[in-house]
Amino acid sequence: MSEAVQRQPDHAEAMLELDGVSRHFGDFVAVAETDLQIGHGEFLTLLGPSGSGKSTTLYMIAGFDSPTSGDIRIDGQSVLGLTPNRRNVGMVFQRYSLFPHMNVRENVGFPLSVRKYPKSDINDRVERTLKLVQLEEFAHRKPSELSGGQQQRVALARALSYEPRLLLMDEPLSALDRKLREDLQQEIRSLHDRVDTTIVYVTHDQEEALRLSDRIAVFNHGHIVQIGSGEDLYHRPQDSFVASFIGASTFIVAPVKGLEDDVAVLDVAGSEHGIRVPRPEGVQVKDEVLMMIRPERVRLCACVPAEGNNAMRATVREAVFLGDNVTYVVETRSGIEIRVKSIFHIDSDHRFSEGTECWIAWDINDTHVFRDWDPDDIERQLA
Amino acid sequence: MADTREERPGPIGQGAARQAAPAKADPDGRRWRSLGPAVPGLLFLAIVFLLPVFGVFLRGVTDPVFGLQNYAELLGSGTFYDILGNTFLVAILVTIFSILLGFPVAWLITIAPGRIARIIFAVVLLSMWTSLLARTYAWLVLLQNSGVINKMLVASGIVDQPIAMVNNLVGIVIGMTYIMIPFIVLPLQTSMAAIDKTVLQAASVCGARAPVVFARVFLPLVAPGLTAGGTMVFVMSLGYYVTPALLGSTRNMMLAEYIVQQVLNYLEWGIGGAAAVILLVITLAIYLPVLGFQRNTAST
Amino acid sequence: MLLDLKAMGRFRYALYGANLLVGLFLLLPIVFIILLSFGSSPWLAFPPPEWTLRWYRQLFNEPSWFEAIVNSFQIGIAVTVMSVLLGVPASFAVVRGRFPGRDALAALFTTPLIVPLIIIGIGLYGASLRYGLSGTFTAFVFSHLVLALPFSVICTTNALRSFDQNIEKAAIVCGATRSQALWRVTLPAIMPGIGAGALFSFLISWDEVVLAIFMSSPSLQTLPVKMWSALRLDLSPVIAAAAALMVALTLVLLLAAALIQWFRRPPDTSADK
Repeated sequence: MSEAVQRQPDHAEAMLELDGVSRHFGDFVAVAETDLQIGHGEFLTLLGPSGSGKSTTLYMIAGFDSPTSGDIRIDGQSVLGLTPNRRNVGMVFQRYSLFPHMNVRENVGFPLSVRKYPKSDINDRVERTLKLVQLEEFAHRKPSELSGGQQQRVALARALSYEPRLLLMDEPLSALDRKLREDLQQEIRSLHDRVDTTIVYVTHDQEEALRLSDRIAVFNHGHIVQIGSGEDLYHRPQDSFVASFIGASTFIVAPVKGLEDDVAVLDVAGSEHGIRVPRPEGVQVKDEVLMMIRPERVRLCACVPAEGNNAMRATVREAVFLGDNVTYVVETRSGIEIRVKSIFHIDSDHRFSEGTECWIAWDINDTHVFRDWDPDDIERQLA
Repeated sequence: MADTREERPGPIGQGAARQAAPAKADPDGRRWRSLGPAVPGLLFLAIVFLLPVFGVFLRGVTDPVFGLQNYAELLGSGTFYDILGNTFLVAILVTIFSILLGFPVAWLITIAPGRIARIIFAVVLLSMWTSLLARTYAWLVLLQNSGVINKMLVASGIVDQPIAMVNNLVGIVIGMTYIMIPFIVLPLQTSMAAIDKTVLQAASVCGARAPVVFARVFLPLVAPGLTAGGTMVFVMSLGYYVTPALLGSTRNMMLAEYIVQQVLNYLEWGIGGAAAVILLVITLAIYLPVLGFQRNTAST
Repeated sequence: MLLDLKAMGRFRYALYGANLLVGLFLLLPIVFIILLSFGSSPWLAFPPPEWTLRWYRQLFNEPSWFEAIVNSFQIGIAVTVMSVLLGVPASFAVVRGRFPGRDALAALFTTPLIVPLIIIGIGLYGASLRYGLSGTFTAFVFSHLVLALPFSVICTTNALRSFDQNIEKAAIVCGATRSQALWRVTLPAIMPGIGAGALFSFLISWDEVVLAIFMSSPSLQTLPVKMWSALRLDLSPVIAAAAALMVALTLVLLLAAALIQWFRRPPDTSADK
């Protein structure tokens, strides 16, 4: 699985700017005041659960909705007064939204004919764009004669045929089955490399976001909680929501029982010396904090682990072979369940069987600590 | 009520056993037996509908003597062509006006919030199912020279004298358009409701202004409903009797009234029958291609 | 944007306006005729000098009018009953039949709606003359039935098509015979469709004028026929009263149907939150 190559914005000024943009529906805040800058050629994903405001933001950029406050600028110019047809952006919709009464060629050529391009020009561009999405042979078919994946490629071609400065994509792959989704994700990535358009992509699938994006903006309840590359978000989540939404996590709520220089010691039942974590700012003894550890950072040992690591005794409750890893669920003496993911145990002779007593250990610096959290964040990981 | 698949009341095992034998021994019989329930209705239609209608056509070629002389007489008659011309003219006008008036109604029903949409729909439905005669009578009174409309027009100074709106083409077109509007609204509204809003959004994002989206995406997508409604209205108008008879005059006689006149007043069954056949042929000639076309393009 | 009322901007007022005009156009004659029937002017002057019920009294006291009303009712009910009795089994054949030509049969049942009414009229007239049935109750019922039956078939067919046949099979697995499943499961489930067909059958018969003109005799007239012949003479307000009566009936029946639908709606099952 290849990682999205981080692309730095090429130009000094941003291609797309959201400046204090918000959207209120009466008392309900769909999007809170938001600032966002997207550079030329960048692939930015708006990631979040349903109702988090990501689609609303996208539709405001497209012009189908007006912000309650703030400005939206493309290439330095405010587009707030412009209707969607004058913003020169391309958009791909969740249900493809092809014109059912036109064939593929007419669909892709529609924006060109609306702009009154000469006929020969239209034909050339349509051919070129169809080649880009590998659909030249299907030019004469109607949307009803195409599969889901093909229809989505036509939608893509239609959005690209007039070389818009910005491409908006609203969960375009969510209606497809898993294998097809992965194939198309690959195509979108390679398309982005070849065509070099600025893309704003909306999805609720964090794996998809990690695959495709240069940067990801994580939305929750109308706010952007964190923006960064996939790595930033995964290794340095600033927020328990981000920690729970991206990747798998084990959460433990525990009070602080001691403080040292840059380490806090948490009182977790089942560990005699306490669990040592990086010390968060302003925390006091007896404060409750939320501790998070990723399953692949936890090691399973038969004997007592070396000094300097966090360690606890546990019993293996479940061992599931998943092909490229083995996922364990272990239970500590005090009943806390922790998930452990190991790539070293995929050969069965190395594997720990259910009921085995063992030790689990992890590095202090692999632990994330949050002083505030939402119970939903913990719920999300248990589901 | 005839239900030939009915089991005799009795132990279920016995019924099942009775069922098993015919199924294996007589598959064709079983198939034909499923036609059974429709037989009474079928017989009824055959006797009360098909035969009499066929009888009319027969009269066209047998009355007073066997042969096509009735057709010859009709097709050679200037009056008949006048009547055909009148009929087509009215049908075209009524179709156009009812589409013009019905389109906004279908549109608003599709996009208005639930309560308003239901109210408008209820008005259309009420209008459609209220007595045809009652409604035509209302127009007869309203459109009189001394009627309310003319009185208001004269009083407000728009015209000096009452306009003749009844016993002429105007009256017929107004009255029939009034009757036909619901028949446009219903299928059109169904077509409009089936359009995916995001397809229109996609057209907008592609750069098309609202009028362009209307002409190149919206209209083509409602075309099936529009065609269905328009064809129905046109064909119904061709054969209409009551409203033109009440609101028109002999100068505007339409085909239906002509047939009635021939048969009831002049006892000319032959001419009447021949004219009826011509009417039916025109009706079918318009309906069948449209129906066939619709079925072929219903692949979405 | 074309399908979004809020995004339409000022064009939406044009749409409202057009609808208001057409709505008034559709309602005004109906309202007008009802008002007129209560007006005292015999020359249909509007607004009338006084309000009165005398036209209604005439409607119900004059034998020819009153009989016409009664005839219309009786014929309407007979037509409705027969329409359901013939139409519902026919629908079963159309929806579940496995005989060749099934689609042709379905089309045949809708043919009376395509053939111009006037042709059916003179055909029936000729037939009734030949067999001496002119002006009989049977002739009326049969001629109206020709028009009503397609509606019964169409409504019942629609309901039957949307009925999940697995429910019937479930009943049989539970131990019911075919017949019990039919009467206790299927028919109740498609009752709204059957009801709609019955409603339309009655309304069609009640309002039917073209065929009735051919079928009627001085001894047997329906309300529309009486109105028609009265109209040929003059525009007396009694006709307005008769027209208002017909409008009232449609209103009552449609309201009743709407109420029944309202009461039968499924209980709020949004319990899963």
